This record gives sequence, structure tokens and C-alpha cells, in this order.
Amino acid sequence: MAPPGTTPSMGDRVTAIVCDDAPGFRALLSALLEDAGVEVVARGETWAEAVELAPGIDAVVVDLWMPELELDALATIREITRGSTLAVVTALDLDEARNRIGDIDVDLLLSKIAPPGDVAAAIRDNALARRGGAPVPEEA
Amino acid sequence: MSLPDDDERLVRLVHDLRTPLTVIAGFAELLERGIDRLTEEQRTEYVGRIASAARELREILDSERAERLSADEA
Repeated sequence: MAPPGTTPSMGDRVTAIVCDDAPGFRALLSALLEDAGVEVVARGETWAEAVELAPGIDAVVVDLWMPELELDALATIREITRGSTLAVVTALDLDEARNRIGDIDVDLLLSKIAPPGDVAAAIRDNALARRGGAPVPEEA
Repeated sequence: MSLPDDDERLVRLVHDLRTPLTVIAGFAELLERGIDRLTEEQRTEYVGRIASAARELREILDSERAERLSADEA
């Protein structure tokens, strides 16, 4: 595993990790990302696993509630993933989720009830834009 | 009878219901979109995920109903 702060993969495919304590959603998002051309290299179900797996990945996707929000862990992941995509998915209303995240600068805050294909596409497009230096798309 | 933490319980209930609902909708969408190119193994997995999420939904609703009945009787 690459040490913290290393640049994301420069292979052909965008790489991602998916961390969610709900196995069904973890499997769904992984399948959707693969379907969108993203290589899901690892999966986790806790904040600790997300912190461990995040370095060197193009797109780090974390559920906000695993099983509670751990702001310190989210802030650590943000520091590790400067230059790559940090996407937070949530089943909470987005305003409620924003309030809980506070001033931690995530790249994408995505609702679990958005069209699933749109969620995967937003993550892929944001990661591709960051990798290519293009303008980063707005949230889906 | 009104529970003191009804709002928080409602937020939690909606949160808990959304995840399995999304899993059902998402895997159904994947099956619908890729029915011709998915492997037999993928189709079997996706149908299993849908069934599992549906069971989870039923359990959440049964549990919520049981809690409500218990609160009403108290």
C-alpha cells in the first residue's frame, strides 16, 4: 500500500475504494462504479479501514454513518486525499449531512436516494477531472 | 403517546429505510440495463442482493411497528 500523501494512480482506469457498513449498498456502489469504468480496488466497512485504504487512490468513497459520523477520521482522510476525490455518500438529507460535516472540505456530497448511476458517474467524472487538471464538475 | 425523541427517531428511521430501498432500486437498474451482458453469477448475486434488501426493509418496518405498539401500551 502506498504511504499517505502519495499521488493517485496514473494507470488507465480511475481507482476507487468504497467504505460503507451496509453490505448491500457497498456492493451496489462497487458494481455501479465498475459499470462506469472505475476500478474498485478495495472495500471497507469502518472509518479505520477507510483511513488505512485511502492513500494513493483516485476516488475515496465513504458513507457518512459507519455506524456513526467520525469527524476526526473524515478530516484525516481529507488530508490524505488532497489531489484526489473524496466523495461522501449519505442516506441523510443533504442539508442535515452538510451541517454534520461542518467545515471539512469534501469534493462530493451525494445522496443515496439520487439515481444510482448518477452517483457513480459523478464520482468517476470528478476523479477524471482531478487527474487531468480539468475543471472539477459540480455535485450531482 | 408522543415519544420525547420522535424527531431523532424519524430521522433514523428514514435513514435506515433509504439504504435498502436504494439497494433494491440500484440492483434492479443494473439488471434492467445489463441483462444481456451480465454473467449468470452477476445476475444471481444481484437478485440475491435485492431479496436481502427487501427482507431488511420488512425487518425495519416490523421492528418500528413493535416499538410503536410497545410505546402505545406504556
